[in-house]
Amino acid sequence: MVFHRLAPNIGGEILTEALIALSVFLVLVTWVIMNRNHRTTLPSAALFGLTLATAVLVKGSLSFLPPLFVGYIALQVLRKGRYRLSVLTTTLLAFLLPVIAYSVYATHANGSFVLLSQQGRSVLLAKAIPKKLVAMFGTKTAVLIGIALLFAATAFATCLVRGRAPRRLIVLLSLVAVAGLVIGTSSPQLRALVVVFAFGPGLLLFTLACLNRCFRRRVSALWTSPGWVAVTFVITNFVLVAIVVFGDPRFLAPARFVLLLAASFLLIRLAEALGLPVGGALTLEEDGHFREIF
Amino acid sequence: MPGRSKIEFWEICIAAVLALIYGYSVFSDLSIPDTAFFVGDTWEYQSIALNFASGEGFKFGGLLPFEAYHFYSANPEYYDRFMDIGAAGGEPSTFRTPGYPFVLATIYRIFGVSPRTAIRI
Repeated sequence: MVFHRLAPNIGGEILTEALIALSVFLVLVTWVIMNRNHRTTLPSAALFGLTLATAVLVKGSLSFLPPLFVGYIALQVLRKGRYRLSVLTTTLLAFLLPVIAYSVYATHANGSFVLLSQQGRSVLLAKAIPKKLVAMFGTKTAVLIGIALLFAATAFATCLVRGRAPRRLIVLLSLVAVAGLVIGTSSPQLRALVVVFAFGPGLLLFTLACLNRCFRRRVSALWTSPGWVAVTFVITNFVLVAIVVFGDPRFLAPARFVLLLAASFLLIRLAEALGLPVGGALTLEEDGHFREIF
Repeated sequence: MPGRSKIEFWEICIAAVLALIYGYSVFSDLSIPDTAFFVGDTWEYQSIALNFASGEGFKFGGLLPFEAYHFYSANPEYYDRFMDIGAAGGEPSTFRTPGYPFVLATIYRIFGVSPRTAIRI
């Protein structure tokens, strides 16, 4: 509904965006079903894996969802958390079987190896933000810069999330960021760096970390609660897509309803921080229960 | 708990009714043309879906008469290329992921070829 209201022109054409929005919705719904009880059932895990497969078969721009979700489940298995190894195996098999089956057919039809589709090869970095960086520095240097920035952002965000970052460091890094933006306006190379960093995963991690600090760690559910992790993963998927493939608003439109969920969460936390009463259907729990989310 | 299940059932019912009312309000006042663009992504999805629904395989190109595709216009720049590909037997569609053409083909098989119906669904 949110997608159609905010992007009626896109939804009113024979284009994939409406189906992408539906796929994202179904991924969230099956994730909720999978995590509804404390003990995850194997049929619900299979349903979720199948939905992930359907999502990537609908559009390659959802390809980051499976590794994020499966990685999360694997991490929980390793930590002996809420998922068993059989849940991970079932999800993975249900996801891989349709994808492999179609890829075999596509490879046979095409005569050369095809994983899902060939579109990824042609659009990789085609309209993405780092393209300018590649043009300025060359591919190898640009990739190294990107990895270094991502590493730095991750380290910084981890530091903040765990509450170990001293305030002086935050002030210093904020000043560096502002200086970068100011200097960047006069230097094309620095501008490209700032743009990549600002619109990249760094922004997401930085935002999460800062929100957590601002809300006195009340938003940690975004990466600790299985329910909110799903919302974070969908947003992360589209951020990553903007980095490596497309940054156009059209391709981000299907994720808008998920942003609305994240915004509602932050508003509730803000209200709580201000001491305002918060209740009703959107009261949230951080112990992994889901039905309160929607 | 039985009570809890009942509440969830009614929650779903209310959500479904609201969704229907919303869907009707959105699409009843939109004048959606019953044609598809003959450019960009749309001509690929539309032709692959129709070719698949017609039993011609998961292929791109004018394998059917041009009018069958319900395209908005026959841009001369694309028309010749499109029909030439069709005359050569069509291109196996491995460039794009199959989900959307497959859903379109299913809709066309059930409701007949109508881009407007596909968009509304």
